[in-house]
Amino acid sequence: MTSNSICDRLRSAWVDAAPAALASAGLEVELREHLASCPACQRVMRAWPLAARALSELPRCAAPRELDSAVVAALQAGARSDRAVRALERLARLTPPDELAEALEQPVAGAAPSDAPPPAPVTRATAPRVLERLVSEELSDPAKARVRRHVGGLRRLAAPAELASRVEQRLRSDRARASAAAALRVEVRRRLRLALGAAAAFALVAIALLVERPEDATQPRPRPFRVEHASSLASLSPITRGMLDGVSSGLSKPQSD
Amino acid sequence: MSRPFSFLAALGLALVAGCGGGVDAEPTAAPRAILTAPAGGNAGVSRNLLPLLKRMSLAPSNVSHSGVRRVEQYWLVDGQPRELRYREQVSSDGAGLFAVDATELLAPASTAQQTALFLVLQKAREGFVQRYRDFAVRDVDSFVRNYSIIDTGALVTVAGRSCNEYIVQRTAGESVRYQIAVDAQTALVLRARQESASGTLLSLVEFESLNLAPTHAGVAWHQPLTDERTLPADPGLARAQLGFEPRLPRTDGGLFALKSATSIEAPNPAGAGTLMWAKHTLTDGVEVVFFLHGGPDTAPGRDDIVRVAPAVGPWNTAEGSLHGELYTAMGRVPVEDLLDLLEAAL
Repeated sequence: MTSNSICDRLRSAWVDAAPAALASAGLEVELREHLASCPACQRVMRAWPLAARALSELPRCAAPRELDSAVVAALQAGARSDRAVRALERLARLTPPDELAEALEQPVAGAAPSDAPPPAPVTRATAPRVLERLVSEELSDPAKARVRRHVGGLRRLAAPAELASRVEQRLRSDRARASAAAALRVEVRRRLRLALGAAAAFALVAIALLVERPEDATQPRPRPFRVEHASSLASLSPITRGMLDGVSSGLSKPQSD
Repeated sequence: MSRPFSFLAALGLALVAGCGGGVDAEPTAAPRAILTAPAGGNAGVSRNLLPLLKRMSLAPSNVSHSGVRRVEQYWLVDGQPRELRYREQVSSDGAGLFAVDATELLAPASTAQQTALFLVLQKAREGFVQRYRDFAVRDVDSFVRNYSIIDTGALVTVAGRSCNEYIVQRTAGESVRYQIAVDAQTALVLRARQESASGTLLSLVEFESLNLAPTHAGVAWHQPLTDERTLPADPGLARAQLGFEPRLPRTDGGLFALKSATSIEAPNPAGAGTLMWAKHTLTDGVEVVFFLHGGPDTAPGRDDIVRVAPAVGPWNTAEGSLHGELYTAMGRVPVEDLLDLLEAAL
């Protein structure tokens, strides 16, 4: 067992046991001998009452309500909670660092323990607001907070060179296709304009012809003779009337006949 | 309608002699196509139908038959609707003789005397009836040029006979349309429905019975009543027969073919006595046009005027004194076609 291990065991036993009960409970010989020969542990023994007093004077903070539900949700029910409790109990206790012991020892150095004035009340350092917010976020949505916390710490990976070349090749291909499509659109527009122009010309000619035809149809073309429209069949020559009578089976004659 | 006229070769000898603007009549009464400048192809007639068209053109005179036909005419005459319906007994010996006897007047409502008169007059008109009244393929070449024919694919029964149905329509100018049922065996047209361009029914002629093995006992065959005489081909002989040189349209755009050329005597429209006319019968393949030339006008005064008479059903008439000569054109064709013919004769 090393010296540091003996120091840790001594300090854990000192922290676990109340100072008044420490003597009755009895320290193991090994630890007593160590304490007698270890100045660092001696300083911890002298500073511990001050530290315990300072810690005991700290105001108690109530655990947030979300903690209960978060613990239940994390551990669920049944034996898992028991296992969690046991796991917590097995965790090694942390002892105050040496720096804390030294800091606490400074004010009482050289003073007689019996008539020493009571130490000044320890001023409580408030946690920064950002810590409160982070804790609140952690408790309200642990998964989200965990993800946010870990994402920021991920190592950034560089894109492989092949990806860059593929992207560049794809961009060049797209630009080529876009260029070809643009050229095709220009050609199509050009041909469409030509076709529309031809169609318009054809339509103009056709319209001119169509406009001319009705004139021909509605306006009798000039004849070398004058055309009169007879008001009745009676004005026709006898041979014409006779032939009309024959081909019409008599319908050409007036009904009174 | 403006239509360029192509040369109308009228009669062979006259053409060979190149006699100015006039032409002489055909030397025989036998129908003969004379046009030499087709107006177009035969896009409207399938070559498969040419044999049928030839059979149809010959069947009325070549197929011995008798039967009863129902005739209906719904015409506008002088702008007034006129209806005529009757039945007739038709006979053909298959060798050129024919007879058409009206047997029953169905409409208009008539007295017994009026009916009897109608039946007698119809007997006098049987020449017109047989030759010109009904749908017929009167010249195959002209038909191919001027008409379209569509086989509807329908098989119909008329007078107990199996017939194929066709739609026939003139392709030149506005004209009537025919829906015909043709006997599959004989090519006789057993039903012809004539409609205007707008679909109005103009006439219907339908066999109600047909006998293809008749005895023809007691049939009174048609006898010519008009004393028409065939015009000789020789211009001198034709002039001697008529008293003037007969004229025909020089050009007609390839529409018409000459069917016959005759002389006929008729009352003088200018006064007493009679007048000899050159009568040329033309056809566009289905319809007929009578082109009459009366020679010099004996009562000149209103020269170069053509009078267009009110239509009698599908028949149009135009007549006048042109350049001192009397002319009449009458046919089941548009008036403009008649005026074109008159103009081309000057």
